[in-house]
Amino acid sequence: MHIRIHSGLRLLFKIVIFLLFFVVAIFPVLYIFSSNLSFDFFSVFDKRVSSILLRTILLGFGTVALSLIIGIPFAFLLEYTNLPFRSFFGVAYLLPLLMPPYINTVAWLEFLGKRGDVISLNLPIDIYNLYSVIIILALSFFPVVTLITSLAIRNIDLGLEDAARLLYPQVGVMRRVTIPLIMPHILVSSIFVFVFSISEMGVPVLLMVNVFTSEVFVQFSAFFNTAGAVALSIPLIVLIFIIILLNHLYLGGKSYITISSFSGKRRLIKLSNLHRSAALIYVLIIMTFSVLIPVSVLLLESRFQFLNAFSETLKPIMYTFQSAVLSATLMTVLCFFMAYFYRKKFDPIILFPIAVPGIIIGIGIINFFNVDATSLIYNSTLIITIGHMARFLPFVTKTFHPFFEQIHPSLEESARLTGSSFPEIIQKIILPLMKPGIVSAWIIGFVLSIRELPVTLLVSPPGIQTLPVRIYTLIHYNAPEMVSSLSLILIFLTIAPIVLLLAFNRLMQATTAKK
Amino acid sequence: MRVHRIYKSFGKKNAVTDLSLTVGKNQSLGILGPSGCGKTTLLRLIAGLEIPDKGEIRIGNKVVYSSKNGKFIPPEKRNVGMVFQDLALWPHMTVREHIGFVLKSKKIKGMDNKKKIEETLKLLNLSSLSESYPKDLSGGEKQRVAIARALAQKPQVLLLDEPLSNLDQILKRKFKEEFNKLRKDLDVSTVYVTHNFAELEGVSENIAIMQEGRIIQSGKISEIYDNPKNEFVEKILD
Amino acid sequence: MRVTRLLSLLLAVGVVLMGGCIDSGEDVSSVIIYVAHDQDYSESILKEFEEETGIQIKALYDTEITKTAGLVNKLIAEKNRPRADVFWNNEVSRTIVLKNKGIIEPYCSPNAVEVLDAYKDPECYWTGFGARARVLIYNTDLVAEEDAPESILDLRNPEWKGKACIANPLFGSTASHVASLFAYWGDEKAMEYLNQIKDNDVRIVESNGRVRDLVVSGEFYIGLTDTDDANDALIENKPIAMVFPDQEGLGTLVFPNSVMLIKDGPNPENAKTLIDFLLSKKVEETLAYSKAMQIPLKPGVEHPGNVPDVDELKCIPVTQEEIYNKLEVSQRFVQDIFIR
Repeated sequence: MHIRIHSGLRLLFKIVIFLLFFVVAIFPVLYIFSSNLSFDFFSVFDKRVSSILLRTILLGFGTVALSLIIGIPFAFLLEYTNLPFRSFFGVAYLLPLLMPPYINTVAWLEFLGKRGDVISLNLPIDIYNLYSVIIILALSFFPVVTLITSLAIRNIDLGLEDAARLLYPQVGVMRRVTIPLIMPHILVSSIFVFVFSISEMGVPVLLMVNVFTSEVFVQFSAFFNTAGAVALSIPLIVLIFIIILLNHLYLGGKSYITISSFSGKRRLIKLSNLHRSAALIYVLIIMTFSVLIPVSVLLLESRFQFLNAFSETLKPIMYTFQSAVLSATLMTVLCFFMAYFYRKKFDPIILFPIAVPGIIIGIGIINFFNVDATSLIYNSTLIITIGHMARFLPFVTKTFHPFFEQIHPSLEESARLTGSSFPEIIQKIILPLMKPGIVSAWIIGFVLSIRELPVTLLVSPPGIQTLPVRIYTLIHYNAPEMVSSLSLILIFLTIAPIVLLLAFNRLMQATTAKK
Repeated sequence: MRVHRIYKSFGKKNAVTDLSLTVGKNQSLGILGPSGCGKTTLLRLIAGLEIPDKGEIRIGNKVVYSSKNGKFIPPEKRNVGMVFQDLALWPHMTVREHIGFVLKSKKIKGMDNKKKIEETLKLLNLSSLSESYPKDLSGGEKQRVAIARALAQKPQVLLLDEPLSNLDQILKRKFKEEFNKLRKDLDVSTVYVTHNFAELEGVSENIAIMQEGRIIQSGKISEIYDNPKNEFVEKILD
Repeated sequence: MRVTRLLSLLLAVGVVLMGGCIDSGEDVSSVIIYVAHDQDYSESILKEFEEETGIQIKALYDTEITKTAGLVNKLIAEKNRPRADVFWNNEVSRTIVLKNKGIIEPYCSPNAVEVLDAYKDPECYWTGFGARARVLIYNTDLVAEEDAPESILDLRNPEWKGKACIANPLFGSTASHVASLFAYWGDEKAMEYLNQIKDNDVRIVESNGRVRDLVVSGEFYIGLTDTDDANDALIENKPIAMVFPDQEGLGTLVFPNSVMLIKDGPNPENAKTLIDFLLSKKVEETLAYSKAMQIPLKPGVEHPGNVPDVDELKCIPVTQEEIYNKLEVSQRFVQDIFIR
């Protein structure tokens, strides 16, 4: 039994945080659903819907399968073997997550879709199909699989593998003990990839593939049937909720990622030179297709006109950066407390907006915030930040959960018993332990916000354009030079703050260690 | 089993230096030493989980490691059973599956497999717990499973790393009784590693005192007790 | 402690940077316009307005991907508290959507009087200016002039099997074009036509610009696109030629920009001034001479040789309202047969 001493301040804060979360992330969505229940709502469910549903499910499973095929061996090579340049690849594999999938699509369209000026391969390949979407998304999302698998492998009690090692060679141990042990984590990463892939709108629209998200888009922009668009997002939401439910049932509430500071070092398998080369080639091929080719294509197509592109697009670049920094910071603060007060069992409420397509959220934000009382916000870049928050508060909150799970309740309880106030507990006990969680959450919030497109498109006030919006506009004008330059600038803007943040972090650790 | 002039260092740290010992057939050797002296490393070297830098190891008539000949036989071919310090039971397998897993690796299948599982379960009094998972077992029960797993393959050598560290007095006593009984019934040489002298009494005939990777003194318990080589040995026998 | 300091620093920086972006209110006379026309051309025209009148322009542009949908949906969503004064649309169908949803109000600009009736709303809800037309283009290296297609019906001919492309008929001017066929021919004949060109392997690509690029590169021999997209290639002397189709037959679709007054907008007087400006002969002249080669709808506007006279151009004889009414049924049909 846990002793709870409810200070008034704590309770008040708890309620305020929930209200903020609700008002920004949940209410606009509820509002738009309730205000669109009309006849038009059901008109979208015609015979085409079943083939679209099938294709969406295929997209999800296909992306998951390919991501697992790419991501799991990668993780094993990193964690078990003396892969050449292991420490480099151990960080580099995260790069695809920092490149917006629609930017990758632009690069591939320039390269293989004959949309490029400089480097366009004239192969008889038609990339406007579902397979391309699956491949591009798998190349973007496999790092999620690798990351979670790596963490899981690091968490395995080495003794378990040693005990099996007395009976089987290394490969046999991996097959019979390691993989069954990390299976729950692999499943969790599959779920993430599934949700990400069927929520993605930019790539299917660019490649003209009809899945649920692009259908929502069509209802919106071709038929002006907002009610229909809202209706179409329901199967999406249901699908995602089923998946999340299955996840909870299967894992039975076990924490699926324990981010422990496990210090046991695994002895690396020394591969033969032949195997080592093969492993290197495997890893290089993956990095080539996921990062090297897109970036190179963009570099070539940009004709290195960065200075030109930068000066012409200075304002959008600034707005993009500002709003992303602000969004990330505000979200980190709000979600920190949200995750602190409301743990996993509140997932249904927290995750509610995750499956709602960005376009719908955008309309909800407009409907909700376009009133005199909030005019100041609505006419400024702040509305863009609100839009980001509406979309991403659930993600950032969920990021905090595993970190909070690492902090045993007894730590807080003992402090409360000695009379510490709520702010003191947060500051002195929780915050210091949550540093890695805070950094992770900020990074995720920043990366998601800086590349955001559908909500920003709808809520941007006149005279204010963000970089992603500008890039999308320019794709129409078939200006691969500008599009490529700006895409690279966007990628750079995404990576630079993270590198700075992590370097700063390491510097802080070094100075504290010295002290 | 014979270990001859084994060296092993991890980076700058020397874990095991010029170490030799012998265990006769069906004999039990106790290795006594404080934590960090290299006892666990020694066991891992014998099992094949670590590769020594220099020296020779024999199990039975086979040379399983020789730096001179460049020979190294991997752990799964050494027929060594080990009880780990933290037991290392597989959380996703039942007791029965633990034993079955071992037998399958030795290619014992079908009816033979079933028979042997029952035998091993009976031997360690685990028959009633055969469908339980490690998380549902008590400390003593887990201990027995760890031993059952190590013995299921009928090893030539059984290595035990601080097997009693997680047990209370009563269980410790019980363990000693059962262990001695087992040894009588089975054909296995045992290497028993601990930092607690009392555990070795009545279990091992010979002991070796280990400090910072070296054997300081070895022989029968009574001999060492009467003639401790230095203060360290004296202290550890208290 | 450090983390909180870092966070507060970031927050402060963000807010300070943001400072400049918050609307300061109405101390400067301004007007807010949503523009569905290409930013390149419209921006300079709007700047001219600023210089002439001293009224500050705040403009919101659309992206091709949303095909004006973003702005139209935004206007609809903002109905309860309109933020825009004027909407400059690059076609008319979505204007009628706005009319039907009560987003716009009538304004009879003095400059609208001379516009042909076919290109303005009888109740002054919207007025057309600077039109584009649907055209056929063909690659001159691959197709001889005498073999060139002259009618959209030619897209059914076996000699063009697999060699023709059109933009996605769910969106934009292509959607309007298809709807006009439904309005003029009737549903049955229109559906028959579409099935026929589908059987003739006509390729759907994402935009009119893309159609032009593919015909220029020779990957396709002929295509259906808009005058401004075609002209982009013509002025660069790319190997294509443009044909106004069906001049002996049903005519082609001519679709103007449309400008309208947003109901209950924040700056109604400035809005009317802006509308008058956009409907001036000068603006039509600028648009005619621009790369977009837009066809003036008022008599007496100077235009270059490649821009046809609107009264000499045979247009499909259907009203904008009729086109609009057929939009949904034609889109659904197109979705069924082309977009699986």
